[in-house]
Amino acid sequence: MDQKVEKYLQTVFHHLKPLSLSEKTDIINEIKSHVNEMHIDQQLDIDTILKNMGDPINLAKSYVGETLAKNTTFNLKQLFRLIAFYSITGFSGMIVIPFLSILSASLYVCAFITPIAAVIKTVGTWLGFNVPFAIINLGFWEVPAALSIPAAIPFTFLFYVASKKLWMILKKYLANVSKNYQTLH
Amino acid sequence: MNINEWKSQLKRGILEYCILLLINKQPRYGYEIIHEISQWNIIAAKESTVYPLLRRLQKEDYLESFWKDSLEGLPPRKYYELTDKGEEYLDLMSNEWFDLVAVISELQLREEE
Repeated sequence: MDQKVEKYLQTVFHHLKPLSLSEKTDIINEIKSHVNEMHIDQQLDIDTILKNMGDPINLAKSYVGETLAKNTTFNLKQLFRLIAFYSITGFSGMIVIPFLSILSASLYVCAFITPIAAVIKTVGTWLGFNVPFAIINLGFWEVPAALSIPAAIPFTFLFYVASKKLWMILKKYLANVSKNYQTLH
Repeated sequence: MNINEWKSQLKRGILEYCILLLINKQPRYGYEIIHEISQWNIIAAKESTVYPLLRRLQKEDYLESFWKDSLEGLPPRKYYELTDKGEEYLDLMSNEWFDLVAVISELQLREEE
């Protein structure tokens, strides 16, 4: 038989992967028979016939598509996808969600407490008290009481921004999980 | 106006019925079916549509197939014929089809009034 036909059939065969060997062979034989019938019946040359039949990969895909679409039996691939999704989401969620939410909320609280503490410390110093529970330590260096407010400003800002950012990341993470969930079903 | 989109949807819906009707009269092989339906543009279909469809109908037990030697020099042909279940299915389809045709005629008549 014509080499072009053999090559065409081989391409179809290779793209019928999910089907069983007997099914694949049966399909190939049927296509081979079809090409022959057409060749003899319509006196068409092989090139024209193959061209009319279209891309061999697409032809194979239409067989596979028709089979999978109607396949209501147990699907191992889908099961693996589900297991992978829930394992990854479950494990990452166990760490990611509490970590992000607690950190974000704590930083948010800090962003409020810092300026309040700075004001208390400053006012206290003016009035002659030493407020021991409101001390800003940067490493070993204690910020002088008089500089409490200016020192607190960048920290307030930093806490606020960090809290916001972490919150955004958490929201994105959750949105991503829902999106993945939807694509599974 | 794109009538082709509508036509291709229509074809998708009725091709199965047309093929079962063809096979109902006598066992037929793939090339014969494709050649036969190619006479009518509205149901003409390519190999990549007809063969997978035949395969599915067979999987669903509406058709059964057998290989049979043909004339000398030609490889054997794969013939399809209706099973009992396929015949029942075809009857049901025919009922639905007559209903559909009746509805359409009714609607067309109403339009003319």
